[in-house]
Amino acid sequence: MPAYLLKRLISLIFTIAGIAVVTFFISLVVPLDPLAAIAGPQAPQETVERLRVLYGFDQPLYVQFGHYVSRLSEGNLGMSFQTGRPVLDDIIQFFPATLELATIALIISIVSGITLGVFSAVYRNSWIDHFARVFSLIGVSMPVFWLGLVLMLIFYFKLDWLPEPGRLDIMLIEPERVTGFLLMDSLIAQDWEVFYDALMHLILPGSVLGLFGLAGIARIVRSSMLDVLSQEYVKTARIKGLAEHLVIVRHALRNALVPTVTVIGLTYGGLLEGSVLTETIFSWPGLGRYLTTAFLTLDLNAIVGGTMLVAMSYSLVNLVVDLLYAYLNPKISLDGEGSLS
Amino acid sequence: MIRKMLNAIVAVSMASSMVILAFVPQTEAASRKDVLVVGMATSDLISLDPAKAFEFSGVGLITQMYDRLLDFPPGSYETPEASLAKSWSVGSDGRTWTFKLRSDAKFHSGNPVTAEDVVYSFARVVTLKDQPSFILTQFGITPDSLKAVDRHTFQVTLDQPYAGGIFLACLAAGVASVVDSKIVKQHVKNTDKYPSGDMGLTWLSTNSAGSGSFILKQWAKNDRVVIDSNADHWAHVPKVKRVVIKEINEATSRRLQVEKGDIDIAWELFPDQVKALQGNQDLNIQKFPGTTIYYMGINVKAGPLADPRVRKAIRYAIDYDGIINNIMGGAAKQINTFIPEGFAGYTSKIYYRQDLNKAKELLKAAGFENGFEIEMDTGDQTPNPELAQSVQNSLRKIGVTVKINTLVSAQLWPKYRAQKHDMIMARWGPDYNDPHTNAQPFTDYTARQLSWRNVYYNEWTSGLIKQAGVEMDQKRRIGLYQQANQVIQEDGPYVFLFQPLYQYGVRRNIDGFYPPPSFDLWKLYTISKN
Repeated sequence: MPAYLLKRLISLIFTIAGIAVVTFFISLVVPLDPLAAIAGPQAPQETVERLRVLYGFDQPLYVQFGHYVSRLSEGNLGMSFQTGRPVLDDIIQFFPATLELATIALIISIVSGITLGVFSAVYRNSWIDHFARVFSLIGVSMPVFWLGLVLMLIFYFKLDWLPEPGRLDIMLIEPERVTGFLLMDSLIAQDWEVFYDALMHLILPGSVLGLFGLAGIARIVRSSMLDVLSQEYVKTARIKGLAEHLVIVRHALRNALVPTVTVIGLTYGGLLEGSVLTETIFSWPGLGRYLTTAFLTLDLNAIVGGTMLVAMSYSLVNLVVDLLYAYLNPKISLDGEGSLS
Repeated sequence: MIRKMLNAIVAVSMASSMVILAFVPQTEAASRKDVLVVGMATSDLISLDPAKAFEFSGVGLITQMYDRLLDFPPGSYETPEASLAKSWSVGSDGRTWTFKLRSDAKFHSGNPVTAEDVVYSFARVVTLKDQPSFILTQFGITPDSLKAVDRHTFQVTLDQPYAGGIFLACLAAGVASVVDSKIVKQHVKNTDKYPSGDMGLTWLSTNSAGSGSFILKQWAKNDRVVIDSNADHWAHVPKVKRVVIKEINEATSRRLQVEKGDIDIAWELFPDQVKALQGNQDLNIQKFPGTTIYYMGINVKAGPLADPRVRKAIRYAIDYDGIINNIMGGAAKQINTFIPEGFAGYTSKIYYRQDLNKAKELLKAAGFENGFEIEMDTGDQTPNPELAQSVQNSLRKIGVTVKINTLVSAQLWPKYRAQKHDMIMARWGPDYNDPHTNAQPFTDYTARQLSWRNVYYNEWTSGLIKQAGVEMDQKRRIGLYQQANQVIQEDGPYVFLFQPLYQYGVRRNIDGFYPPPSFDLWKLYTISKN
């Protein structure tokens, strides 16, 4: 296991380095002038030229690349043009909000996806199965923008069950920042009012984002459950007189979860980078919105920093998935012959 | 036994919920009364440093936290009035300006506002040379031209005489805010870009050191900015204790929240939202024309567009009413001048209404009765692509075929600056509050701005604007702009489309709200909550 982990971590470093190089060149070969976006439409030409020198865009490409590589090797992601702060500071500021939202969304996806999947498999071709399929289809096909606004209209505006968009009530002040996750920070500060309020603020955006991941999970759970339920050992368990719910949960579901874990891993990665629209509708101060602005304004350092972060998140999630695989299915070995490298 | 236990549980939960219910809403009600919540899109916010901020939200917040030598009073944007300076005069050379400061003004730190602070604030701007710095450097101001004559007398020497109206309007701009030099000097850092000291640029980005009506309490990026009332302000003590600027980028969300009372003012509502709010007894919809001008630039370098008759034909072909009613939902006002409403010299005279026959006649006279093909560049942000389509439809009716190129800003502006466009859908917002800020780019090609980008090298209009730039008589100066405007409307390289109307959703319990043409001209201290 340690050898496997080491191998994976080394390949992670190479992946990140590759992404850094590719992103740099892609952002420089596109026929766009980042200075135009930094200076804005009204700035006189002198300002544009002065900024070009200030940001080093007047240097030849290989010099710029040299600076970039030496800076990155020191762990310095550079300054963001749009915020005027180090990109790393921005990421530390915005990423926890996105991670918190994506995690809540994932929990919602997993719980509802597995429940729906199990029910549709057990009551195959019944109305429950049809309902589950339609529901998950709606989840993936409904535009997030529309769904977000409609749910906001119903649960916030009409019914008043959930609070207004944002991360925290306007009258509450965030507790001291320790992790950046509002739920955790409020627990650390034992500020229950903030904890409750932050949790309530997470429900709507979390559900909208969670619905997106639900469909994939429900479908894979359904098909693997159907597969497992027809296996001999399940029949044996039933013949032994085991209660049906125990057969389903203990014998069938545990084995059906192995392929589901992969989908969950991919879903998590997707939720992390796919929260842009949800963040916009729900005024969520996360990384999605930061990166969208970065892309629109060609904020190169922020784009590279963000892309590396997303790549790293994906790689780490994949690693965790592979480790979980081995845990759930002892037949899979991570070291030696037939390893999952 | 079980019943007893159940009773105890019920009693305890009832008591605790009563305590919670009694506690939570009351504290909220008591404090919300003193807190004004404004919902707006603030994603452009980069810095709160007067020497750096040049975006609406940044300059808008600086306006609340800092005082300037002169300022525009709430609801009036034509002439700046005394603020930190109680009087001023210009020497016989027309270059040396002397300002007497009031002696009762204090910074948030308690330090008095002195002439030394003004010198330091202006020196920062012209040394750091960030985006808004040209508002001061255009008068030839360098650190050497600034002088503190005594504790309350500040003097600045310009490189040549300039029209007083322009110079004073620039001193009322956000970039001319006065910072607390003693505090800022404590926070100077050496950075990559400024190895010998950043004059507090990094620190002031996220902190305030002013003397204005509000003090920065918290800036949670992409979430909210909280400013607290400065109870010791020398004149304008706010009527609320705190203002929260809540970032809500989505206009529908702003509408829902103001309707529900979670925010007190919804900044910039679009026609759809205004329609939905009509008849709501709890809200007022207030309107004011924004100072931005939407226009189409025409490159006159060569081809059919070089002929003034063709440009005039294009101006007659546009469906102005259709654009205003259908694309802008009625929230716009046609304009035929480069001076927006709200500025001195604005005229409501309309030269062009859609007249296809006249347009065709003009094309024929120019020898293009069979039309021609042309390209138009536009940004990808609403409403510009829609405006481009409307123009395309209109011009098709007079035989002109328009190919639209939709570009992102990082492609669009370099192309415009390089004079490589045929026609461009664009907009222009004033940099400071004086007609000169629009007159110069639109008509004086030597400023290498809009007139130059459209290759319109008109010596006559350029001369008029240069003359206006040094004219000390305000009335004569405005007359020169109006004269230039007539030439531009007749012959110039633009189609002026409209000024948008800004619409605000305001709760009925809000008093003293003067709808501003833009956030940087808004004074929050006038607002009270009942």
